[in-house]
Amino acid sequence: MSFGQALRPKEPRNLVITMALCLVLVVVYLIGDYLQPQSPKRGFGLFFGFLAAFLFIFEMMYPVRRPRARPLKTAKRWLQLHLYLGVIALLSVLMHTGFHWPHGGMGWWLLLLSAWTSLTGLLGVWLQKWIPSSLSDGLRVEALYERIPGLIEKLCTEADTLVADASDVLDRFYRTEVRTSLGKLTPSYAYLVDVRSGRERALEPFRRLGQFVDEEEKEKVDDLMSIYTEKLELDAQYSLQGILRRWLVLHVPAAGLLMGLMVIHVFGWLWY
Amino acid sequence: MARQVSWGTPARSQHYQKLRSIWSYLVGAILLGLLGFLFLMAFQVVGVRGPLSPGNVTSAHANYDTKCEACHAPRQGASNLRCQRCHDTGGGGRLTQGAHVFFGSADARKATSAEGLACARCHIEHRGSSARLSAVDEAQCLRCHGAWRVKAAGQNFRIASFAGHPEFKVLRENLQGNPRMLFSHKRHMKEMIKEGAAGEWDTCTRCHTPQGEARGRDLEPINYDLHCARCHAEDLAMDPVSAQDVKEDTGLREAVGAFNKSGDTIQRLGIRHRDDWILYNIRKLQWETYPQDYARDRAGLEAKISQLQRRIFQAEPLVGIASEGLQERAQALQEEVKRLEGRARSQAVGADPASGLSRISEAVAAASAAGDSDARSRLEELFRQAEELKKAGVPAASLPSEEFEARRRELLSVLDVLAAADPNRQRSVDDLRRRLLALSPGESGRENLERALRQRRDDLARIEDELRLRRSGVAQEVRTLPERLALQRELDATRQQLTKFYTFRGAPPAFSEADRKRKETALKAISGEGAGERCAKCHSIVHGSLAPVAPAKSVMVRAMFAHKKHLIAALPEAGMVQRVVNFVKGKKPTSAEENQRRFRCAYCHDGIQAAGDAPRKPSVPAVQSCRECHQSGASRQDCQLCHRYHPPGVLS
Repeated sequence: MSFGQALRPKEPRNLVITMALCLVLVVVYLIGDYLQPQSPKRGFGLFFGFLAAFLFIFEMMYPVRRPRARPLKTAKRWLQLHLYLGVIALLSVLMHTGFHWPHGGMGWWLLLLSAWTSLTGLLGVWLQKWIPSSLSDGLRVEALYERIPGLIEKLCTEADTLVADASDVLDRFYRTEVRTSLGKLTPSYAYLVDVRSGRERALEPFRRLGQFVDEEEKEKVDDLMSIYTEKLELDAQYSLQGILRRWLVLHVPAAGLLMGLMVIHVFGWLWY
Repeated sequence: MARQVSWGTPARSQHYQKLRSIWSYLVGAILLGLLGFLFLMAFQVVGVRGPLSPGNVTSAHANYDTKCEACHAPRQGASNLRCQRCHDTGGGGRLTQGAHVFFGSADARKATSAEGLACARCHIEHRGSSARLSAVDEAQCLRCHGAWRVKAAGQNFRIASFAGHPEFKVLRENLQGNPRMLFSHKRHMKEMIKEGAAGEWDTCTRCHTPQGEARGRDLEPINYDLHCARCHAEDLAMDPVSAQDVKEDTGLREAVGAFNKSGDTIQRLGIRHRDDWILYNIRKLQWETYPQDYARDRAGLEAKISQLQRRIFQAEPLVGIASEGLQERAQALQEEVKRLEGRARSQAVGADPASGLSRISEAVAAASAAGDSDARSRLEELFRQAEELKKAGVPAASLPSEEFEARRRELLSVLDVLAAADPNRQRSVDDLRRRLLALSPGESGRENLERALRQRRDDLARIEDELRLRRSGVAQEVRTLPERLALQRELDATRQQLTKFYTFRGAPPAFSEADRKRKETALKAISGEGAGERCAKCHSIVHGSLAPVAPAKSVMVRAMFAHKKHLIAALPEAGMVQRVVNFVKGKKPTSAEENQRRFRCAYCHDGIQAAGDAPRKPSVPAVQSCRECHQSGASRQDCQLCHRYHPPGVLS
């Protein structure tokens, strides 16, 4: 899957509906702005504030989609709504502010958190489409994230057994060049761009060693190279599956903080 | 066989692999968010309000940056009352939307029914310390006056921009300026040019001095001592009058002067401007010859005093009053509100004015019983008229303003007589005077009552809010209000005028017709009325009443015009097309055009140099002339450049 393909919507109809809704909201905003001076405290400005708040509340219900997915039938629908309503929520926030920069810390927090949460959400959507396809397209090995450390250990054991009665050259090469890196997971963000990133460079020493050993040993080198290739693929699996999980750390705390500040914001508006 | 990288999972798991729950990530993330939230709240608790601040207040409000309660009332937002606490300490309501509507329309009824508008709607705070609160978005003006909401502002024209600005009202309705003085620009300007005034600019500015903008006025007000006395300070003498008609020793310290007595006649010499002796005797003779006019003028002064007293009372800053005093005031206001509510209720269920006239039948019966046929026939006639009135219904149209003013004057005279007859009723009379003055044409008694009720409720709300603020510990420095001092000065001057010149009370003694004629002649001899001499040379005098003068008052009271800026600005050149046409035709500017350019006052006030005594058309250029410079991409053309939302205060 190409980078562009990953940006294609899963449900183009939903994208069209969202774009249409955004357009309607922009028209409403422009009419409101013409009818009376824009203010977040009244009129359409307030309406967009309410809209953003309700949408954010809905967005925060996303984690409970599985046990209570019935109103929306499927988790996919939850995700689609979570995605597109999030975009509308961000637009509502911008229209609530009248497309002006905030003046106080509170305003900045709310605006930046809204933007951050929405953008990290969109990033997550892209990651969820991009990573699985690149893993399946570019790698042979498949493994559950939790099993990868165990599989690495097994590969180490297999490699140790393989070079147990090997020549000094191979043994020294294994101990100095391979063993350390083979025994530990080396995740890298580079796999996000290319799942085979750095593989050729990593396997080059094996190929060079093959020229200096006899035929019998050469087979062992090839096996060792195969083990190392598998390890590299597991590294890629581990890295990308880890990213798929860890992007939530970018998204969820900001969303939680946004909700907390939004409550203060609404309370402040009601009280003051 | 060589080892191959396996497809799929390399090896089977020995046991069931328990997957990590999504919550293990989410809980951590949520906790992180909570931590961030608590971190920000901690800043707020220890007094570092920056991170959660809604924005800095302007530097003028910096003292209240951390005292939200100073401006924000719970569940009400930025309360108008709290703005007024500092900016309208007297609580005169000058800064309200109602005052704005009244300022624009002079219609009390419309002003009363105007929707409220929060100060914070236009003056938006929390936009940083350098923000200008007075800079109001033009869209706020257009919200009511814009092209799409004409009816909202009660206008019959649409303003979308300065290009669509209607013609000035003074020109649209051809309002004649009435300075209530007889003054010939033509004569005075000629004299000045003879004296060596260097052109029109110098001629005009000798009297109309452009003032610094800081004092809120555009041109210095014309003042006798500053502007007129230079030429008109010569001592005048009045025509001799009968000594029995005037009082030689008026008892006024300032009224000492020389007299020329000859037989039964007396003539005062060396008359000065605002001569106390002259003014005293004018009032005396007016009281004797035109008692109604005298009573009206006197009642006007009494009413003014009464009104000023109330304004001074209101102008006392609440912050300077002790809490006990405030509570007493609140109690008194609560009682007054109750009384007014009772009156409003009784008026609401009371009979309409037409049905009230049916009580005439009782008077007819009484006249019949007394055997007074003349009274009976007149009352029957009145009864018939009442019946017709009942059938036709009470006309909704209000009295014409002149008639309304005449009725008001009559009532004021009646009140004056009432107060003179029974000094114990002074307070009631004062109250009635105030209420009478508060009435405006077209306004019914009920509306007036509702307005009073609303004002009392507002006063009460201010006091209650002040008490609430004190309880929450929001202090406010006590400042002496310059407005209050100005009002006090005006009150003192009015009182002095009343006690010096209006000492005659009640009805004058009866005079024979010959005596009356003589006194009338004496009045004219002193004031110069009818002959255009002495006082009447400049002042408009009718039956001894001098109309209060309004010299050099701005013609456009609802807009500001800075003469100084315009006088130093370059005059607009003719357009390119016009210049090409002039060049092709070989046309040179005429001397009149050149003069207009050279003498800048005449550029706008064309024809002023030829204006005589008679009331004339306003010498104001059309709005089109403003557009010569104030156009898109050139000079400013926003509403605030000329207009002000708030009516001017006592000092401006």
